[in-house]
Amino acid sequence: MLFTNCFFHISMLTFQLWVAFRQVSGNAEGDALYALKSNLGDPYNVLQSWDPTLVNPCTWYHVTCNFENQVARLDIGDAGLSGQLVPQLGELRHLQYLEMYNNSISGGIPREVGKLKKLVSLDLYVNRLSGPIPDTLGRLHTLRFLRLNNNNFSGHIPMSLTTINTLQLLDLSNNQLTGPIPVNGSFKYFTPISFANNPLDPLPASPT
Amino acid sequence: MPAALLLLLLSGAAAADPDDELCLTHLTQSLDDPLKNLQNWTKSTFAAPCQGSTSFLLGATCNNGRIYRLSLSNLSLKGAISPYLSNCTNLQSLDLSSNALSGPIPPELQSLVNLAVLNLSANALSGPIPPQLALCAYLNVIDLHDNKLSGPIPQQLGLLARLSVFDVSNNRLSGPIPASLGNRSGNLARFNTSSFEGNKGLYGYPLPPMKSSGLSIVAIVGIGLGSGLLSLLLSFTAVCVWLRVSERRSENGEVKINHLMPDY
Repeated sequence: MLFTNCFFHISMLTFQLWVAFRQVSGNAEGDALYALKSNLGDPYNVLQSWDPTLVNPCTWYHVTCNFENQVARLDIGDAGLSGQLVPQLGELRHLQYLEMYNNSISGGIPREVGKLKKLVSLDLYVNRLSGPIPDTLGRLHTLRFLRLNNNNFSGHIPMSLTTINTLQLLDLSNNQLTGPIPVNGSFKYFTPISFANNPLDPLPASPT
Repeated sequence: MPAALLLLLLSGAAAADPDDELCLTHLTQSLDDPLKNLQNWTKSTFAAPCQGSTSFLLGATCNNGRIYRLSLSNLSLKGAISPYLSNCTNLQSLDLSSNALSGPIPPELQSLVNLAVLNLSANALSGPIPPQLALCAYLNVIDLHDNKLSGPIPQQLGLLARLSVFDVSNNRLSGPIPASLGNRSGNLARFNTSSFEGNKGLYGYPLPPMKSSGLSIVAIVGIGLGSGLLSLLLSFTAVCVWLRVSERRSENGEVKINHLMPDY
């Protein structure tokens, strides 16, 4: 009786350890998102469903996966979040939409965001982000919408952004950006609206 | 050239007030939508067509509560382009191509200072190309092909430094192609014959030189020489024949004379 009890407990423990181990080495994307959650303040418990013990994050609210259970969308805009972004965001290799606008997130954009080769939309507008716009964002060659407006970004606009040929909408307005406004590559299509309310060098009055 | 631009600025109306609602209300009044393709374009929606980046109107794309792109291509639309479009001041791209729009291109479009793409191709627009379009300094694309536009190509459009697509083919434009568009230099994008062809009265580089009606100089010279040679040949032949004939006659005459004269 004691033996079977003992055996039972040991096997249960072993099983639980095995399950726990599986979680740890299981889903890198879930881990990345959980690292983000750990670094954010969430007074409205918007990220309450983010349970790292699940096999993947595809059932978490505000997370959308593709048919292969890879994270494709992150929709946590208008969520009252604070805290900072994490470099682990770069692990979401199939992410297409990163929507974190209208929060109180501070700190900088991690350079690792430049690893998100399938990103179509990067919406971090209306937050308290600061620091430079990383030049690694120039590697996002499927990006269509880049909206970083209404933050506290400083430094120059990276020239690498002009190599993103798919860029349809650019909004860097209402920041503390300085230096010249690029006018080549995809930036030929952008007008003063995209750069308004920054201490940038003015565009020439009659373009030459 | 800067004087011409200054003249445009002075003659033009004041810049339009930002007012997407005014813009859209007037646009639906001037347009005719027989196939009811603009279904959710109702007056109540015009008051707030955008909520942030969401648009409630088919063909309109929004950012920060303002319309920045209007794409109403291939919707069998008729009627005219309203000058009040100028109140959609955040507009960066306007595409009304492949419809049956008529009437002129309103010069009020000069107030769309953020316009980068203008596509009005494949319609029945008439009247001139407004030189005021040159005040939309960020224009990259002007596509007006396959319309009934008349008059000259305004040389002021050559001032647009970002212009990389310019197509006015298949219209009724006339006069010389301005060098500022037909023969651009420096870093400016160049346009070839495909941008200008299909306009009967239009001429100048890069269109090939006009063929003169009637015969060309080569043809005239050729005909002259040819007929000269031919007449020379004919007269030569005539002389030969005459000589032969007269030889025979004199031969016959000679025989008779020989008959008469005794042999020595």
